[in-house]
Amino acid sequence: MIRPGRAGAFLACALWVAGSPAFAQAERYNGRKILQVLLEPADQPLSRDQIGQSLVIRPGDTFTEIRLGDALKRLHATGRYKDIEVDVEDTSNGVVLTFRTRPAYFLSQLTIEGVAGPPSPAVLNSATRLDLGSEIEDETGLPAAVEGLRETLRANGYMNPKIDYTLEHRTHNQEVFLKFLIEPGVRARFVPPVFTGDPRKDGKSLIRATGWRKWWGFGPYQPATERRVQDGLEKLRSSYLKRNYLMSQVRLVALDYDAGSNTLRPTVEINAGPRVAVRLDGARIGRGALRDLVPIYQERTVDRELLVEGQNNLQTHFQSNGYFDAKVSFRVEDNPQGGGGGQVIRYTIEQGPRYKLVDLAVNGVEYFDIETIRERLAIIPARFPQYRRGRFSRALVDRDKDAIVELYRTNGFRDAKVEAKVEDNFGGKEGQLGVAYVVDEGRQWFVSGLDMSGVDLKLVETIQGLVMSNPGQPFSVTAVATDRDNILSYYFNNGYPDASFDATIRDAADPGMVELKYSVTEGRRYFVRDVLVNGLQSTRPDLVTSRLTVSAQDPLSQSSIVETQRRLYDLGIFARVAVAVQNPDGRERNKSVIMQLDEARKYSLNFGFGAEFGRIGGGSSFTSPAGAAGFGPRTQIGLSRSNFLGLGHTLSSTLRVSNFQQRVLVNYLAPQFRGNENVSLTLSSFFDRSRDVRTFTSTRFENAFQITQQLSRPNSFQYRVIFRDVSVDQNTIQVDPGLIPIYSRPVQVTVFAGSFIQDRRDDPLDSTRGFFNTIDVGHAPGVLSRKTSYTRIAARNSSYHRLSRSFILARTLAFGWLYNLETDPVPLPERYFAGGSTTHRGFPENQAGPRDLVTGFPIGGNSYVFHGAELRFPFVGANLGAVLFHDFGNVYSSFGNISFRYRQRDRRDFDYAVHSFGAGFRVRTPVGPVRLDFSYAPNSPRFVGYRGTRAELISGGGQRNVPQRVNPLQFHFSIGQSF
Amino acid sequence: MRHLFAVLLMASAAPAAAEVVDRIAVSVAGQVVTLSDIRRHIRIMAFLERAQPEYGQARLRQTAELLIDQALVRREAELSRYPAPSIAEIEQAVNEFASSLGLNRQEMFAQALNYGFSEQEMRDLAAWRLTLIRFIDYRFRPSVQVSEADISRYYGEVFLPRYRARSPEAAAPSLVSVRERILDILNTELSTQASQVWLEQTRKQTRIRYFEEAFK
Repeated sequence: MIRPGRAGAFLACALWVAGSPAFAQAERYNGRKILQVLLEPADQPLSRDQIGQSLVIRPGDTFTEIRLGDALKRLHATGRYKDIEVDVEDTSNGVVLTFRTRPAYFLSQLTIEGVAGPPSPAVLNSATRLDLGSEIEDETGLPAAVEGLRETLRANGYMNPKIDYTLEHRTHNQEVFLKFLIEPGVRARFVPPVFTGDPRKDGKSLIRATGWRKWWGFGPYQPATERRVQDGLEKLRSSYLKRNYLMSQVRLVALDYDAGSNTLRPTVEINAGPRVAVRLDGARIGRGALRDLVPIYQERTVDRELLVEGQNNLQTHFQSNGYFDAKVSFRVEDNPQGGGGGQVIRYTIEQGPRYKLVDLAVNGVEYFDIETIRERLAIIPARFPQYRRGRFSRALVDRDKDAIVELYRTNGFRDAKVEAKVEDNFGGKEGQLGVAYVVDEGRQWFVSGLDMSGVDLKLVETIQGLVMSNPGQPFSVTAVATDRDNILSYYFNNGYPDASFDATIRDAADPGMVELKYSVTEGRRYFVRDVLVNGLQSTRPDLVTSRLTVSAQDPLSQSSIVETQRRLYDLGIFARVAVAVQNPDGRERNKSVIMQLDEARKYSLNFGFGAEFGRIGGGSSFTSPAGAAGFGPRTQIGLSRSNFLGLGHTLSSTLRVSNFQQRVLVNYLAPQFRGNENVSLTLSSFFDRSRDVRTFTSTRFENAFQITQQLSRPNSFQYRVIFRDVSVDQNTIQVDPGLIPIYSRPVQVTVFAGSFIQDRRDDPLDSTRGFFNTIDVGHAPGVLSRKTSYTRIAARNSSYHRLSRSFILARTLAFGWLYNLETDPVPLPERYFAGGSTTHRGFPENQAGPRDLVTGFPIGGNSYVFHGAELRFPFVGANLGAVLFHDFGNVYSSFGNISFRYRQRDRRDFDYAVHSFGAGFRVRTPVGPVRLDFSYAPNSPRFVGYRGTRAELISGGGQRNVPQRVNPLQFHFSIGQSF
Repeated sequence: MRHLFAVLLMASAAPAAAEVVDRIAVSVAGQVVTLSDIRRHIRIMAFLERAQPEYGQARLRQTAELLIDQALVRREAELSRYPAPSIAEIEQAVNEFASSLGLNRQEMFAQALNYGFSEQEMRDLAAWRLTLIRFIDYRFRPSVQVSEADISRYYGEVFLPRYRARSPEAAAPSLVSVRERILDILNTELSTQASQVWLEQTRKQTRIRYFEEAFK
């Protein structure tokens, strides 16, 4: 124990210095009666209520020095005051106290102008070390902020920045708006670096490696930025690593600035060190895999710990490849070719026999069903094709044991134990393994009693409702942790930011029972005083205010603040939504919430290039009515204006050009229309000239008005009105000349349509369970001059079923019906064209259904039915999957002609169901699986075509009734699953 | 409360004859040291030294620095939730405090009253001293490492010369017999040094604002 005298370090008395006090001695007034308590100035930042709560002295009280000091401290502790001074006026009846105050100012907006990044605005903001909402002291300038900015700018090549700032004080809410105005000057450039130490490489190759010089080291030097400096050093390190200098050291020693030429000369110390080679004896492994498994490559150093880690990794690698008895050892040898101190690290692998894990058993499980246990296991018995020898290693077994024990413990089995028994030559067959996990569940522990303290009586019921570990419930540490999270979340979201929670667990007198004690410290409750929104330039304020979920007098809630942030980000018009509490350390009850909004760039330009290939192409000839393998490049350019009119709407235009399509699209999107998060409005207009249906080239002008209403997470409605003007280029239409006037009629149509979409898929890009339903109904009344009139319906139902851990069955059924209300046939562009990668893989794109009886080109139909079924499963490793599929259906000439007949009656019969079988591969990517499908359709349509020129066709020449057939073998390549 | 509001009249100007009796002198990371805190501390020191308090500018500044240190310690002790001393411990500390001044408890209270301190204030002072001691004990003592070589060195270089200077004729005690005492001394010295280093570091990281008007 330390003696009291030790505190003298802080209590030590200092020298006596003569002088006279400038202020009155407060103790002189001790015992006097306080007549009045006044505040100056009259306009105070706190309400009279709040001041009343802070000041502990009142008229009529007796003056004491200590109480006065306390009052002063309490007032200051509100955080609203920068300075407080107390005057006393002595009268014969007592004293009058006057508190003279100066308000504090808090940062409400921080803007930094004049710097072309890097550094980015976020980095510059952070460099100021100023927090939104915190007090700004400006009497002494902002030296730390200015210095922080200067350092950051210098690190990015702006060596002589001129930094100025302005402060705008707003007395009403004690806000200060701080704007830094920076003139960064010209960014310094690199000049040839100096390399010291023992680099063992020539200067040119080193400079090339840094990337500090443009054009692979042959161009001028780059402007200097912090990132370039670090990247350059990292590239140097990598260059040594590639040549097995695993112990190389690369260090930036200096960055010397030359003001005359505005250049920076880096000095880099490089010590290449010896070459270290890693050799494997007894087995082979790829170079990339070796680098992943032996961590000396990542850590760039060689020590025993890393070599042992590499040994374990290699052992696990071979074990998980079936060599379950694999043993790895290593030794370090001198490497005469590696320079002074060169080393060879030699890993010796004794693979042993290769096994196959054929059986996995879990015994002793009573409380759970076996599937619950199995789905937590990492080892997998052999199964074709993904795990031909199973997945097994000692490390995985340990992981499984931990997972099982954890499952039991979270359900109250505190004493659960698991043993793993590995049986060689399982079933009497050499090379086969069986693993059995033997579970000893032990007793299940329950909560006998819960004592909760510290909770406000008014909240007891609510808090108890959040607790999982109630008496009678199984006990687990996880459940206690969940209780803690739930309770604290409640408090944090209801104005208690300082709430804390402690749990005490004690064994109860009864066996298998524990007693819990939860102690809550609520802390002070805070409320929202006001919401201060800053930074809006062109955005209408009501767009923001209508999305606030935080409002005055509400409890200060973290979740509401985060929700507001989310809603504002969802508008897509803000680059940054910074939210802070004003005066965060002040003990005032009501806090202002500050939102600084930085609007994003309004214009964005995007380019895209792509290509499609498959059975497309063809041309204006009649030679391949069923398509031929082809390739079509595609390019796209788009310009978007976000936050149009300050309403958060987006106006965009897109130009798409390919050899099959030219399209100009103008789109107007109003998300969260009129403040409703669930409603969006879209106006679109496009002009399109396309030949995606090979039979003709159409020119289409379309205007659409659509409202989307999200009813719930999976369900939404779309309401549309579409005006379409379509004409067909008669010179491109590939049908019987006699039918051209009918099929090529220009169409003006107004369609009123509505869709219902229900999406309960787990992952729209690659679904493994759930379902997806759509139904779309449209009616086109014949009200315009070039009219056609019809009612159409299109519906789809897809579902996804997990058959086992790896196998997914996906199926889809699509149906469409176009009911013609006129006597003339519906013009070609309004008919159904289908077939291809997303509808029926037995056909090339849009090649299903009726065909022209002369030329053989598809002419679309009035109905369609498609059914697809797919078995999806992993194939090799985690990223390559495979599918087996069967598609059937067709586009039919009419609803009445829908038939599931297998056989085609003759070459004029297209109203039958085409079946196709196939297989495909899926490569998992972040944007969805890349897909390659091969299909075979044994009953693909046979039809007659025409051989000759268009002129010959019109004049009656050429060769008619040429037998043709849609190729039974098709392939499709695209991104995303088929459905 | 209504009564209070009624008299919380907002003044347009202070009375002409008014004088400043208290004000904020220093703010330390949200806490404040008031002018009255500084003066009271000066009186405490005067009481401990049986002298007259003196309030010169330099003295005010010097005392303000001590109180800044105390504020930093207080904040750290609160954040770290060191256990507060019990009433019995405080009473015990009051008694020890009195005896360290060569007084009994009642005599100390009576003399403290002359310097403007009530009994409760003296108890608060004792409680604060205990808090401070615990803070040093818990915060710094565990990190102090005293080796046998340190003990031997202290014995040879400090203890023996002092002992011989004080009692030249007497036989010096063996290292073994004074080992525990030396260990305690070294622990105390090193933990005090560590606390000073911590204070210096904390001061650098803490926003400390001086209100010059308080020191004029």
